[in-house]
Amino acid sequence: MKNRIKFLFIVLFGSSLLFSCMDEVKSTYSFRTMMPVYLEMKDVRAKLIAIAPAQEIENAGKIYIYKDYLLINEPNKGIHVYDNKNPANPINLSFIPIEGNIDLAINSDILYADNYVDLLAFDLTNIRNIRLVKRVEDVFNHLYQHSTGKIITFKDTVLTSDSPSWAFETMWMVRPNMSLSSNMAKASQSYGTGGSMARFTLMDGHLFAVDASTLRVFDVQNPAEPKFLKPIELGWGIETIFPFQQKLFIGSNRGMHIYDASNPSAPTRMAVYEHVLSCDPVVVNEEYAFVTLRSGNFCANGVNELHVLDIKDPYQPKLKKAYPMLNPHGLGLAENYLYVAEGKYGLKSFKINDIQSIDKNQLEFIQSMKSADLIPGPKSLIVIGPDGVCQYDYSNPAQLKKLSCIQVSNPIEVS
Amino acid sequence: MAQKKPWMTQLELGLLGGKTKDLWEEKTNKRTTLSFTAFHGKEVIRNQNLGVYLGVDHYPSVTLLPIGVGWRGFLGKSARSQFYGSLDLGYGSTLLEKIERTDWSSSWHESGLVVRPAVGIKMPAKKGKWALTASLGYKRQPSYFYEGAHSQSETRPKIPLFRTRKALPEGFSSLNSTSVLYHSLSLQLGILF
Repeated sequence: MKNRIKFLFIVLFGSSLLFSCMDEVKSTYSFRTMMPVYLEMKDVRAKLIAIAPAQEIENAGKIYIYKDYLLINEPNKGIHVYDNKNPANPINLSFIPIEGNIDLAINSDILYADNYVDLLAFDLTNIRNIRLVKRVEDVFNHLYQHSTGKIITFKDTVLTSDSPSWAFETMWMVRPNMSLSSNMAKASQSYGTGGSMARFTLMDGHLFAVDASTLRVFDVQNPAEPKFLKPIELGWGIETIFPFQQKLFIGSNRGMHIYDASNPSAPTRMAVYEHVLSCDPVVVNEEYAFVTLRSGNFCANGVNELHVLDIKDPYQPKLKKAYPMLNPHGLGLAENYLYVAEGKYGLKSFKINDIQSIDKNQLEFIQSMKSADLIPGPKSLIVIGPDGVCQYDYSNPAQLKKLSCIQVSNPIEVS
Repeated sequence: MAQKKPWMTQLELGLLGGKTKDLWEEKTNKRTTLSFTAFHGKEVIRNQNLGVYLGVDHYPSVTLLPIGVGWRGFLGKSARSQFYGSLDLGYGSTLLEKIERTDWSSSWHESGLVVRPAVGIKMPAKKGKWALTASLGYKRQPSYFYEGAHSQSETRPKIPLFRTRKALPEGFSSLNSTSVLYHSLSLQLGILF
């Protein structure tokens, strides 16, 4: 018996030296990138836009308050319509599916929305029966790829390849937040309209739309019949537009442009307030403009500051005071109070009677309220952040009270 | 004859041998590394033991700590040398491997289901209740290594706890992943009491 065992062992041990198996080694490289998608506008136009039942929000884009309604853009997909009679309980009514839509504005029951290169007008008179009344073709034609006559859009895509790249240094080249197209996509995703980060705005019977480099003017004196008037080149890096008393305050990543829009069909430049390269939303009252500058992903070299500019002479804006901030994103002005979304740091409210000592008049700093943008609405302060689209009672600016939050499945990450 | 205990403990130390192919060159390298297993089980029916085990499997690029369930089945009478069969089934944890994090990137290890069927022999000591064991088996064990670049430099994303089905976990803009499925011949010597 013992010999047999010994023999067995020698055989087993011997075979183990001769035989062994090969490991399976695999390596893959996955990365997120913006894939170009080419579309024929005639195919887009051929599709019927039928109002769909209420849908969950995946990404919250521009937010617009109109009467008792709250309209929330789903970037590149359409617009969610909420009944906001009671800000403590907004009711999701319907969804307007519009491909390539990132912006909206409402004028006398007519909703304007972009559909890639076209501008659409919807009649909202009966909110339960929203109708498309007008399509203005080929106005946002910066989206055309001229060589092909097709429009080019970018889709955030994850690709996996079997050939790995170990060159970490080259990796940021494909990081979507570094590429221009995603800069746009991101901007459209993150920031609410009606707030300081709006890109469509209405004033004096005209609709003004800014993209990265151009201001486009539409005559909407007959609301249901928008007419495209002209484009005005502004230079690169335009981010936001804020109308105030026949002037347009346009925030770019190089500074703030002031345009005289007393003749709205032909705005003329009054001044450019230039400063360091950063991302800057603007809000304005009679005497002062409030601009936030922040450092961030694509606002490289930035600083984190709130600038208060004297604009009594709009041809010569003067910096009155700069206050250090943590990471200011959007901001909102309601009477004598200023609200600043401080990104991941929270939300601040200030009393601004004395613009020389705004920092001393900080009323509240709610660190738990991470926020990217805010809109002081007639009924509530709407805050867009990682918790979704939340509304606060701000009748006492020193003590905000949460009313409700609309859930968003991919909320904004604030950094 | 000694009274039979219902509980058994087996401590084994051994070698894992295999061949691994270099990713970049058409070259194969032999690997021989150490492996340790502690099994504790109960005789559920005559000669059949079920229990739990804990192990340490060392590989050239990673050390895994498998934890799982095992079976030991013996042939013949326990007073004499016996052949036995064993099966260990577990999950290889990567507690010993460090997660490396910077503002820009993270790298970490993950593992998966490990299985080791084996045949062996048990030789009881002349005195006492213990025995020597020797076994030869096959061990199949996966190991994954990930290196990811963060989407945002200021936020460090969560490292997924278990191997993610997604090509790219949340918060990452790119991910290099290397998976190795180790096929090893496993020779273990142990004591059983």
